[in-house]
Amino acid sequence: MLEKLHVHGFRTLVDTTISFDPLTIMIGKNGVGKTSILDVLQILGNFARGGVERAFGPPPWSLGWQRTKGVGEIPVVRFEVEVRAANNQQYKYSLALGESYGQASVKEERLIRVKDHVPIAQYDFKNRPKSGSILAPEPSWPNVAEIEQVARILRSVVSYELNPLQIEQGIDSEHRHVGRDGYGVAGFLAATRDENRKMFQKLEGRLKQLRPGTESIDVWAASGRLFWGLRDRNQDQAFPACHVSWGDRQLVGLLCVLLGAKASSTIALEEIDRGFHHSRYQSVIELLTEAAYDGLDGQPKIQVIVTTHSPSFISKLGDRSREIRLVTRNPGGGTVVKSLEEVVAEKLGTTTTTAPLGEVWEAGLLEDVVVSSMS
Amino acid sequence: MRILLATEGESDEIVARRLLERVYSNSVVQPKRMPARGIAVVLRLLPDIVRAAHFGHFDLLVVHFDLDDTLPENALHSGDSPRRQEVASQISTTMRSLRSSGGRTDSLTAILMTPAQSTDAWLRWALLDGDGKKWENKDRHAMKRAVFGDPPRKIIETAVAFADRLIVQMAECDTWPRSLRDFLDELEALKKA
Repeated sequence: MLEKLHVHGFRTLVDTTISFDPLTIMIGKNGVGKTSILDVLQILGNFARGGVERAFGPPPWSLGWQRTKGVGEIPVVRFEVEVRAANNQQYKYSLALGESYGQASVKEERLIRVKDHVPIAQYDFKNRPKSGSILAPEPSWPNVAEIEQVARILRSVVSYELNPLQIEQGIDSEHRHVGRDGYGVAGFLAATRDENRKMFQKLEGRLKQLRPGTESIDVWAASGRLFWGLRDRNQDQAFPACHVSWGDRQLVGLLCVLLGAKASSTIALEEIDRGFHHSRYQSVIELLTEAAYDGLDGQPKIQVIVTTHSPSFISKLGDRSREIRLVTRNPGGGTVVKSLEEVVAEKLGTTTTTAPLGEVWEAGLLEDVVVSSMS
Repeated sequence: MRILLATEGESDEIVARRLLERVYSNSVVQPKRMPARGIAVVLRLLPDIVRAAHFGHFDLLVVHFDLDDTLPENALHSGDSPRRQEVASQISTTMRSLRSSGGRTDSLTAILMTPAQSTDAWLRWALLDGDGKKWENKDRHAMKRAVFGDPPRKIIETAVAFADRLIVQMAECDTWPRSLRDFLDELEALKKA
């Protein structure tokens, strides 16, 4: 599980630290840095899966575009992440990236066991790892089992921006994974139905619970592509996904992501409320909570990190301000992240608000914004 | 002076800031806006607003809400509105419970900005003159349509222009709406104190 992330010099994350719970909900206005935090998680996940090239690809998607501007020279972008591995040990992984010839390159990479501050792996510039990262250890390295534990956690980090227009898409039959934007749901559903019938039934069962009236999720092939749709009770044919409502498409995409996640994965979801009617928020919160704390329907527990702009979604969380992070920008422009519990205590001198939390946030009582100095 | 200003809407906030500026020229205002209009929202958020002002070490808390038609016809002061009395009582209850907590030695002062029936009546008076009290008796929905159009448009631009006009009208004319006079009297009294 990811416990803490510190970022230096990436977009608005000038010097930003965020801690994570099994379920973490980030709230904040537009442009404060929530997406940047999710992008860092995606970069770390991609880096662990395939080094710099997988994380950044070719220019113009180089690091240079994403380095913090306007706060002086920041030669390297630094990511530090603290993880708790399956052996219950805490590790700190740090990655510093610079730029050469328009391409991000590793300037420092190390893994430290927090308990005794012992570096258990370090990027060796004289003898570079073949994979481009210490997260793909060679069998001859010392501490390879420990490195592999941390690498497994980081490789499982995926940040999603589910988009109903991508979720509905038909897809080649070889495609079996849900992409970052939700592309590939049809392939995932087909593969699950054919190879893991039990999980498919779980997915269908969850959908029936959340969308009463659903009879089945149908997947079919046409013109060499796979498509999916929903069949309601008393209907002899499924509505193709492109005719299913945005909220329902989003729900199917979310269920695929949560149920399809591997054990101990970290799943980040941008704008979790997108497309959902307020009446569905409570069910979505319960779904995420169950996935994070118990595991969905016998699936392993996963870590869930979400963002939202919806005060109504926040209000539905009741008194769970401990799991909410308020993301703001300090006067210098850098992103600051604080636990909402801490903010409420500091600003209102209490642990629970009288009005629903979302309303208190929307009224601006938790953020200092001096609009005018009348002098 | 540091002022926490809580209003029901953006046009009210603009007008309130201009009025505060008229009395306290060197103040710093932190505006907070209710998530929706309506006294139910104000009452729900009030304890949290008072807490924010207390723990934020503000000198003055100004809470705006419209009196709507709760002010009796022959009332001499806005304080005669039962709505205003309810809010004032809730504020003092919360303030009593917070006394000297959070490292605060001075006490927070709260002033209510309670236009009758709404801030739009003040703006209408600013534009069309006449006896301010009469504008307070007119239907608030009609006042809103008259000021901002139906449906409302260019709310910020209109409120800024009308707020400036209101300040001029207040200097030129004596027949202020009574709810406006009550608010300004309270601000002036606090300044003198």
